[in-house]
Amino acid sequence: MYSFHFLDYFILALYLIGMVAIGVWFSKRHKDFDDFFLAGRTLTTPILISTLISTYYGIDVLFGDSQLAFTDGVVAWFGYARPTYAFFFIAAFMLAHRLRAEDFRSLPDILDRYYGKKTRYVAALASFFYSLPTLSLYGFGVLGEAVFGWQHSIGMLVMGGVTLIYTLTGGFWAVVITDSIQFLMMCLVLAIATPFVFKMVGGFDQLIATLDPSFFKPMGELSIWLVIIYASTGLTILVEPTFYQRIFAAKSYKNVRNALLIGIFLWGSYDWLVTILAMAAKTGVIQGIISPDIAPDTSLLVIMGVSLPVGLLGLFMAGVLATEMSTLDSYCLIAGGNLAYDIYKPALKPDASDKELIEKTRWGVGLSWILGFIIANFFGQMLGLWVFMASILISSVLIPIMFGLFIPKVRKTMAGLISTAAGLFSTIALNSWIMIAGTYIPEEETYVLHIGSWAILQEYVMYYTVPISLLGFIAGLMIEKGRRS
Amino acid sequence: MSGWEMFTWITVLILGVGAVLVFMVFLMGLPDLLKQQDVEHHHDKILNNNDPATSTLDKK
Repeated sequence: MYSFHFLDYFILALYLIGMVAIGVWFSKRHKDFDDFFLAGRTLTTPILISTLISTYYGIDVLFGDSQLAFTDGVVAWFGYARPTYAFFFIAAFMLAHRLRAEDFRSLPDILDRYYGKKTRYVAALASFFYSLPTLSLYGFGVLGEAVFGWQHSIGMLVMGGVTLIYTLTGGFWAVVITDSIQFLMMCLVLAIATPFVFKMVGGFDQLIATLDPSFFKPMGELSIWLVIIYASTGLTILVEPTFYQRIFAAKSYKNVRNALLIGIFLWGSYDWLVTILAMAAKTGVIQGIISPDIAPDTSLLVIMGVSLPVGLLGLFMAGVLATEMSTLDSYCLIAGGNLAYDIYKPALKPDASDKELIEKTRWGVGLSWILGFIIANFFGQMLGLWVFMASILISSVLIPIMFGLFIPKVRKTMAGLISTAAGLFSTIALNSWIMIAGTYIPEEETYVLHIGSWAILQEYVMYYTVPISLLGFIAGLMIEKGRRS
Repeated sequence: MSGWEMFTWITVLILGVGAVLVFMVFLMGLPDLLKQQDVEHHHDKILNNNDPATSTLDKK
């Protein structure tokens, strides 16, 4: 637990009340579904920068980056974070233009247009499962316990509940406006905190003098294969539904491109500071300022707790909350949209009015939150679940979306359907098999399944399932060709 | 000052000043954005007579 001053509590309370107030203010202002789900497609460059950055960074990234930096050094930035920017660059110049050119509203919309309704439903299910806010709620539980000494479920209910209220009431408008405030808090607090942390450990030179020289090797001690695997996680940006939603909601392609190009510098700076502050925490441990028993993934929280003065600590905690709330709200809205717009409307009620669709989306948001809450409370293997959820969407939709967007002549119904279904079901089957029949390795923090001399780590599932999806796509093309001939 | 330290202070500057600038531009554009939403809302009411059964998705 942290020793908070009244001022810190006041800042946190003010922040939470402000978020709810924004949601309530927007609650009666939605004129149609586009306005509720895509903010009327009016997002400008500064809003896009804010919402893209704040949504992409959740506690998992914040803690994951700092954990790797705490144990391995600058490789966390060079090997893990930096390759992601290459994918943002690709997205800015190759993907965004094509996505913005057509009048899509959701990721399954694309698959519907290229491959038909059945593919849409499979993709909507994969997207819904991927977007369940389980990890965000779990993160709130851990944060509530670490910071306030609350039970897990209390942290989830309080912080997750505030996020649910403003998302349900205000829709995407509330999400992007709160994202803009959350973006400012996340970035500014990290920048202001840096000098305080360096002062605590005796200056930047102490990092170089204290830490092992391997901490400053850009590729560290990691094998090239592990670096490639870390780097390839950036592929998710190419099929990330929250990213797509922001492209569809932009005023124009130029706004998206400019936001991504400016955002890369802010992303890079944010990642670097998280990396270097976690290394400062490691320095603090060696110097004896910080307890040696700290968990590597909480190193950033701990170093901030001992370095920041009254007021700034409250602002930092509000910034950490902001990091997770901006992720949770976006995924809840995507999951709600998957149920209402991607499944309910085309499958059950094609003539549903905008008012009805907004109402159903709100029900979907609530349902996704409840499912996320139940899983976060009663499912013990969170790390396995995280890998499962991360691999499910990329395995299902990466191949059909990329082929559909860039090679129009392969937009064949069977190709899209078999590819999406094969990716989805092989991911479910392989993950379940590894988690049930495999063994958990605490040092690696993962499950591994041994088949003879062959070992399959759970993190590597998508290296099997994406090729399966590709094979499914090719098989579908051959079936279509056979039918025609 | 080492290259690492210099790079760190540059990122502090980019993140701190960048975030404030982006937020200020956002604030400057916010009244126009909300006004535009109000105008569209009013225009939409006149066009559709605020009929809740009307789906704008099918028209677009």
